[in-house]
Amino acid sequence: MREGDEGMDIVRGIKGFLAGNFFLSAIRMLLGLMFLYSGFFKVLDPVSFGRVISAYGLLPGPMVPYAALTVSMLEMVLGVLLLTGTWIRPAAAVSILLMLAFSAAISINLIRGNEFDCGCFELSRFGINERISIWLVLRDLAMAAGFLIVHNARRHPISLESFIEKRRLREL
Amino acid sequence: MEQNEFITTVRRGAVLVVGAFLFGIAANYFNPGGYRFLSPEAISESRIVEIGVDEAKIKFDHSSALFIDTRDGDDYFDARIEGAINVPGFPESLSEKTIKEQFRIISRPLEAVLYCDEGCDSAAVIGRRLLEMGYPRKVYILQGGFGAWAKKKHPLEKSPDAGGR
Repeated sequence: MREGDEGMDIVRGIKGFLAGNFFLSAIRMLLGLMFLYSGFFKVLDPVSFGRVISAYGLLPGPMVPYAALTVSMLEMVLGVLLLTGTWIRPAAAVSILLMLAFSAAISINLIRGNEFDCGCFELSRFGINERISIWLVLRDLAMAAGFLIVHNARRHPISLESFIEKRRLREL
Repeated sequence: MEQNEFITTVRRGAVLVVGAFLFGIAANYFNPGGYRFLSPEAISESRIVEIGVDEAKIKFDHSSALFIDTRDGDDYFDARIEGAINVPGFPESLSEKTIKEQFRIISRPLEAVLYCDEGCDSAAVIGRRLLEMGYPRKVYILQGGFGAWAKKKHPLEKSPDAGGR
């Protein structure tokens, strides 16, 4: 009987998480912070990020600067939106696409037999060289799954969206 | 309702991507460490480099350059820098035709040194045209043109019957 209750608690916990609870909000904010941090350094030094994009060998040369400028600013914008809880669904949807694109880019280069610094999260600034590997693909896919959960959640207790909605309902 | 939500998400997602592109370009404009974009004309100009006779002679001695004479056919026939090919700058139709015919030779892994007469602009015109056509390296223009080269008594080539013309 007691074991059954515990099992039900776990199921309820998972359901609550998937529907959107404080824990999911914390994860969303953490993902937002990660994007904000990563994008900030890329916006400051887009040329270095452009060199990383070039190393992947997937875009024609003239497109690289535009991709570097767009992706770096996109990460910043997504970071702010996810952190504050604004436009959560579109921000999560774009984040999923971004993570899938990163995974595909790494996978293609692994198949090509290339090996170079992945340029993830600007870790090379701190002397940490994270080279492309299957683990990075899995990490990006795991993050895409995290964004999918955020995208599908119906509630976001800690968010600007929720705060504005509550105020609106109070004023009715 | 679900479909409306999907459309709203897609629309807002597109706004995010386009907005990020525009903000990215704007932020780059004010970023001293950012990209510096040049117009196609400016890129072409930056790849056209003027060199003096001495530098051209070094390239000539090392056989590292293809000399391109952009004067008209008669001048080229009379005398030219040894080994130079003729791509006349004018008329435009002849110029276009010759560039197309010679482009494979010009694109060999050699530097292109273009010359005409002093004060002329046909070498620069042909240089720009080569870059537009995808010539991958810098284009060098000989300052002072053919006259400056001849004045230094550097190697020339004359057609056998040029004297009688």
